[in-house]
Amino acid sequence: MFISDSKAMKTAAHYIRFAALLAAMTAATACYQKFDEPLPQEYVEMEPTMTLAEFKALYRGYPVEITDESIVLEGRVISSDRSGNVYRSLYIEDGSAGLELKIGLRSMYNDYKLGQTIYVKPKYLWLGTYGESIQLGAASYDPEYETSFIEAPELIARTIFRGAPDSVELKPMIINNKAQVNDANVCRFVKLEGVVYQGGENGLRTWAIKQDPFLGSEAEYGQQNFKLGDMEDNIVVRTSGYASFAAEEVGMEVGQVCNLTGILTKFYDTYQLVLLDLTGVERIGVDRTE
Amino acid sequence: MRTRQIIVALAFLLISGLAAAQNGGIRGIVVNRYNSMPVKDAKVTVFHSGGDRFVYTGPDGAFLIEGLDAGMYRLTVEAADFFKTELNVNVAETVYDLMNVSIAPDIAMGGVDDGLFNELEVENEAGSGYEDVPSVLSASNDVFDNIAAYNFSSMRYLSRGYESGTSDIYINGIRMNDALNGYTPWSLFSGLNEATREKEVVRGLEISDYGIGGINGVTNVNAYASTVAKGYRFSVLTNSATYRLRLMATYATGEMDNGWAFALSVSTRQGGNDYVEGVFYNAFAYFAAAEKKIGDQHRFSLTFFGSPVQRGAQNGSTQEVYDLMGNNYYNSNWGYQNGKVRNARVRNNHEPVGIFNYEYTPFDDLKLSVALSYRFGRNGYSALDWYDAPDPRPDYYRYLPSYFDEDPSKMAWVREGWMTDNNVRHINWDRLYNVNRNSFFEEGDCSPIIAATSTRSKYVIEERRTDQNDVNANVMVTKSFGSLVKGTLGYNFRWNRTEYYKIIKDLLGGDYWLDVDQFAERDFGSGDSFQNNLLTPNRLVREGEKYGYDYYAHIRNHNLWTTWTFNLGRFNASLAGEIGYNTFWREGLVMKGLFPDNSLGDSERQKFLTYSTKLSLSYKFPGQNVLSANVGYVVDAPYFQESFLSPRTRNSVVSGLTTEKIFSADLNYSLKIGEFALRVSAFYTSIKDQTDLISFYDDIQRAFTNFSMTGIDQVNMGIEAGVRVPIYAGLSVDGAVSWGRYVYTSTPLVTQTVDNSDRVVLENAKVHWEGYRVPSTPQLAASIGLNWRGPNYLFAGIDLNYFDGMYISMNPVRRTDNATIGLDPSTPEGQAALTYMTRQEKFPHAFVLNANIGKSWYIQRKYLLGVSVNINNILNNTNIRTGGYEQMRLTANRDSDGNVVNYTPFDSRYFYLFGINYMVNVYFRF
Repeated sequence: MFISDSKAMKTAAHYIRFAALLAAMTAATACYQKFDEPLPQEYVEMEPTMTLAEFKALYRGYPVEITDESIVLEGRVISSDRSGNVYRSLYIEDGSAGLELKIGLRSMYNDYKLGQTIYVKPKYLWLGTYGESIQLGAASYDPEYETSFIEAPELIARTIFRGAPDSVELKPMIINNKAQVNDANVCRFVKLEGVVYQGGENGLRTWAIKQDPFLGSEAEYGQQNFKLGDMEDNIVVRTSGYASFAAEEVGMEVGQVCNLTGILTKFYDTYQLVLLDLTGVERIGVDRTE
Repeated sequence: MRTRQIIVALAFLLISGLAAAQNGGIRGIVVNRYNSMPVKDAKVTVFHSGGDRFVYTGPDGAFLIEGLDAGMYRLTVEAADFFKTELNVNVAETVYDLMNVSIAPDIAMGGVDDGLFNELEVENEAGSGYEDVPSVLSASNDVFDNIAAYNFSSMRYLSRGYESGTSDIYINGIRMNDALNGYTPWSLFSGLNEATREKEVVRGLEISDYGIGGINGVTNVNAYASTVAKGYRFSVLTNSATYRLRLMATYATGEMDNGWAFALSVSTRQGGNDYVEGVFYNAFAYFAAAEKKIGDQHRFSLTFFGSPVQRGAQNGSTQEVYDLMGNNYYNSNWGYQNGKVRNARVRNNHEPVGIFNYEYTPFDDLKLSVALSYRFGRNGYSALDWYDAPDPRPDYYRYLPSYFDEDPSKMAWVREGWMTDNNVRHINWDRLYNVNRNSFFEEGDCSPIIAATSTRSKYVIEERRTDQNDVNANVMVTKSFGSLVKGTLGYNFRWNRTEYYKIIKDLLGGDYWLDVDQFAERDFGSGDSFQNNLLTPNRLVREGEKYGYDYYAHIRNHNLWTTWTFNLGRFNASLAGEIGYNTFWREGLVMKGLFPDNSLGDSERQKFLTYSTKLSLSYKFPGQNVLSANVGYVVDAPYFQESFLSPRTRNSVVSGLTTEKIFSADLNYSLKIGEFALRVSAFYTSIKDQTDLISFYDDIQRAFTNFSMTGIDQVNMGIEAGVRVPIYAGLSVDGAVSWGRYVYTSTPLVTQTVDNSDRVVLENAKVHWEGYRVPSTPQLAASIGLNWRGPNYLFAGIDLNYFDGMYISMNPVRRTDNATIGLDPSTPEGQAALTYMTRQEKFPHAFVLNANIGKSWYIQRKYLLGVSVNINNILNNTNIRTGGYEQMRLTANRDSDGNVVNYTPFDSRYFYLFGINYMVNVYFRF
């Protein structure tokens, strides 16, 4: 019925030997998936060969393919698509001008930070316009557009280079008189000071129209009008229905004075302002002059 | 006085008579049929009144069982790597010498390893974590099953076209199929081939000893200490198709004189394969069992095993990507990190199982069995997760040349990237780290106060967990009524609580993850609605912590079943019935912002009454010539996993949830004459009222939706035939054919809801897939082979296999009316587009040639050393599609005003059979 002592010991020795063998076998083969974190990204530094204003002047009224390999542009990132109001474009500026880069990616703010220095080697890219506003993009096969989004990762990798993140805080250009609202300042990061709210397009009270997941309705652009001094035309704050703040009430009565910070753009004859987010809206009082 | 003397004399006579009667016995020598070498450690069991008795053969193959009454006995001989042999012996009052009992070695003499059968796995887009394991996993005595197991499984052949979950897998008498989805539980004991080699298999509709079974057979793995082959067994295996190295060691005592038996086994599997980059094994397995027999009446057994596995997964891609890479085995799941290949999708499982068994045999004809099991541990599957950042997967459709089909220049640039840049064609880990490291807290982040230097990870590796607590309790009573009738009554209870949740496995260089629902944030903006858990809003999640979703699945199943067999000479009948009561419900552990009233706490309990019944009839003609027929009707409850609309977010149940009804019948004929074997079967099965749930981003609705289909019917019918014809001197021709027609026969109804808002966008709409084929298996498979078993344990074989009728797994959206709007069948273009949308792709037929060779040696008549080599797909055909699926997404084609004109489907994703590959197994036993 029971194992005799010597037999028990023999059996035990058996097991110990076997267990030791198994342990050795396990130790010999154990290897775990361990990964060291990659080194921090190295940022590029380049010497620009022309200013953005000089570069934009290369546009001749029709799309221009950039073939000069030597051109290097430098600018700081002034846009963020984080709120979704800027979409698939990246705006940069240097001391001379601002430029819209139609990079074409989404959620680019993860890779291109506000204030970060960007270098562009525009060979393979095209200068063109949309609504008479100059953009740098890729060759377009669609007759409706002079340029297309750059989009292809390999083309981005060959043309757009990331330099150091911001060392100096990004400061908008202050615009407080109508003379400053001109083509040279289009695509620049600006602060419109003391503009007066004129109301929304078709009585719209929100910045834009968001899609409704309950009804399944579509998102739409929204336009809110502001007047700068005695400038004849309004400056239109144009907001995407996909912006995170699209459904927010503007919350101003006509006549409200405020400062607006964003990217100054132009669509044909209309100057527009693209807000990066609602921190670009600063209410400062009511205009009593009217 | 005289009377007393007479009584004493009679008593003496009686006693001596009894003593004389027990002088009977059986002796013999067990030998290998092919080389007449003795087989040691073979288990010889004799079945007689007063319990079964068994002995093991000695090194010379000899055995002796004494003390038997005169009479007829059934004797079985079992040995590892040999077929079980059964014979009837008429014992008189002396020891009957059987002389040589020859037993036939199992195919290829155990050199071929069945461990590789269960490693095939496919990823399916919609049901992330879906596993498709071939159902023919264990070879058996049956000539057809044997060939199918070895030669068809690489093409993901499914027995009779049934899903793998339809076959029941028992371990020590307990059904171990997954409680949540029915999947076969092979992963629980992967790497324990030696310890779980002893299996009892019944096929198709046949009734098993352990339960009435379903339509696709029952396999009972006997993982007792006494059923593991006695002695030491070591093996080293290397192969080029799954892992580089497997080491396995097993030791079992067999049943010792004192009634105890012990068994121990461990193994490890390491490395990747020659074809798919990024996949790897880092796997171990352990098994320990103890068993004690007390007298002839009591048997206690305890078994504990587990298989901790880390395994990199493969992903199917579109043909465009395979062509770009010039490689049909491209895997999009990995990228280089510091020069090392890192896979984002890793399975990390360790689910130990403990089983207790007790058998009580008070009388020869009555047996009571009690079994109790507990499964617990972790089941994890990692994946990339990201928040408001570009899709990090390299083969995302917008990163492919085809996305730019109207822009040749960009198409060329994208192609250039795929040809030259590892950061384009694989996951760019460096970028993910950089994004996270530069993602600082910004105003507008809805987070609690955190340090300005903290970084919010935009990309993380999540690990989705499905951690089970599974308890099974079985009671079974078997009673024989003479030799004519045997009845079994059983009761099974299952208690399961599984927690579904996910954790952050790696923050990839960032400091925290914010626990909010980005799709709700996009759709609803501010407010509470985008909180994943209103009880802990805006929670910062660190590595190892739960986030996203967290809920329990609760399952309680009761089953009462009975089987009866009637032996009437050559005629044999079995009748079985089962009744079950299944309950399951969801218990939410977080309060989802979108559904505050319907996410936390218990859902309504879903209750289903199930039943099934079976009848088997067989008739043995003279000779080994059997005709049998089976018929069954099964009513099954739906599984938890397909019953909730969006189990990660809320308690809503699929509408129209009902039981699945299966009718099945088959007719079989088998013949054995010496080594000649033949089996032919025909089967017909109708499955009604299946349900399916798919969650995906729907381009028609432009939202993440839940697509729940009910009323899926199918018919599986076909024939299977296997034959072995011995030719000369150990040479035989083996052939098998499986021809089936597995087809959908209904127009299921679908209800589609938007995940975020519960808005119903389709209600009881039709999915037109009547007449389409059931995918994921060849509907025609055929094999012809030559096998040779030479002298001195030498064997070799070659087989040619043919596969046809393989169909793609369909996206039901493409067969709804919505998908074909704007396509005008009266125009040739419209008709072509319509066909392209709705046609089910059939893969090209394929030939696969395999060969094997092996040899083993007895050293000093004690040690066995063996080598076997398999070479598969010798023709090195790397263009054989084994499976694939249609992606769920569609491209919306718009006019210049942005209105949708019509839709075109995304390209399908495919899996390919590996080209030429080898396996070498060296084993050593004593």
